[in-house]
Amino acid sequence: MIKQLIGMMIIGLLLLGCAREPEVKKQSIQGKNMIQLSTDGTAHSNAVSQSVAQQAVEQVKARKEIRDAVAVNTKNKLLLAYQVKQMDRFRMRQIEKDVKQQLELLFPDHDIIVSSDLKLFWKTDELRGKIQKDDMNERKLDKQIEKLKKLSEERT
Amino acid sequence: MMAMFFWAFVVGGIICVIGQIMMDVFKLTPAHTLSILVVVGAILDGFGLYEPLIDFAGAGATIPITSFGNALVHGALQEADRHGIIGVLTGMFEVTSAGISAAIVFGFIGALLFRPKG
Amino acid sequence: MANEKRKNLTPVQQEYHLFEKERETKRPVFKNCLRAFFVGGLICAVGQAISYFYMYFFDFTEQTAGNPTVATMVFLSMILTGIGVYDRIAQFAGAGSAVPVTGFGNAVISAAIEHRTEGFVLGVGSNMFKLAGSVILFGTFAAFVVALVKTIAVKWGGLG
Repeated sequence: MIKQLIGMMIIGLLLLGCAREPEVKKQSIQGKNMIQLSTDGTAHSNAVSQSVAQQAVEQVKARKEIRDAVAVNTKNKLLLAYQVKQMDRFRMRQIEKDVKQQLELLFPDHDIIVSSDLKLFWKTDELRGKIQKDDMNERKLDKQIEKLKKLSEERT
Repeated sequence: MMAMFFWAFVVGGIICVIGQIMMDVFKLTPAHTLSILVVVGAILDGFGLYEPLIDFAGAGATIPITSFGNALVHGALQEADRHGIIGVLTGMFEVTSAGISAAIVFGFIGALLFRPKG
Repeated sequence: MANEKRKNLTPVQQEYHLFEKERETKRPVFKNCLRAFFVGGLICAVGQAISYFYMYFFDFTEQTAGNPTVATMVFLSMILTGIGVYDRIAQFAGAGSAVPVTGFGNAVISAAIEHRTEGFVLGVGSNMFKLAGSVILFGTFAAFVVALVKTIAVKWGGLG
């Protein structure tokens, strides 16, 4: 019995140890969101015009399945990452198709990359932050978007 | 993100309960239970039902052994898409390699490190 | 035991049967299920935490984080099996610890450790997949059939 208890305690500790990390992450993301509140999921910058991204985020956020969205764009590329509400995650693939189609109709002269992946969401948000700080020029941004595109297409 | 943990817990738990019921109520051995679960996972993926479950529950669907069957079918279909019917045979372990190779490698390391008890 | 068979028994034997049935320990199905649910759920939640860890610190996406997560879980299961903790968990949790991949890992690893005294080739090598072998066999064969049927249905049946 005591040995059983010890075993359970070890699992418990393992879980606690592992669970703390995401919690920290969650806080930091929430922190980011707090700073973001004044913005709307797009960066405002003079170096690269983000009006397309801004429009895209507004359009996508209007869908009721989407919890949050963030986007960046260059002259001919638009990268949008979004999070789907938990109960709609069953239909994630269909939603991805729909969102992509919607954006392709809206911005026919942009190369559209959409992803519902959490990793892409983090990365896109990072990019958006960099643009906000004027840390980016068109070419660098283009390269970053290409990199994320490759990441989003990776399958196991 | 917390919702993800919650559903991973619940879905993973439910799959384990199904296994427990098979063992307790239908009196199957663990080997039979696991084999049936793997086959069920493969069939579910055949109907395209397992992938949405992974989207919904994350590790709650990928950690139970059912995902093994799902991954086998997935690799086979992927490869069949590219190379036609032969791909079914050649692509089978494409996606699943992680679980099996990890089990083999760590199994051997374990045998080197630890001594049998009792 | 069927009723017809019981009619052939002497009264004493019948009495004994009732007595035996009364005293037989019933499998506590509900309690076992509860334990399986919590331990199995816990293992999956740990897996979720590990996959978030890989996503946050490395370039893995939700799609690709699965493989390293499974490998890590099997590694953890090796450690727990080696120090003898996993068997205790298994006694408590039943299917809750057998159904996740950690259970698969445990089956392989414990067989490997147990048969080590018989040598590495004849002992470890040939006994490793005693339980896991059936899982791999039926999984692979079922996957083959399912994938074959689906491919044929899509290609020539125009389905999908």
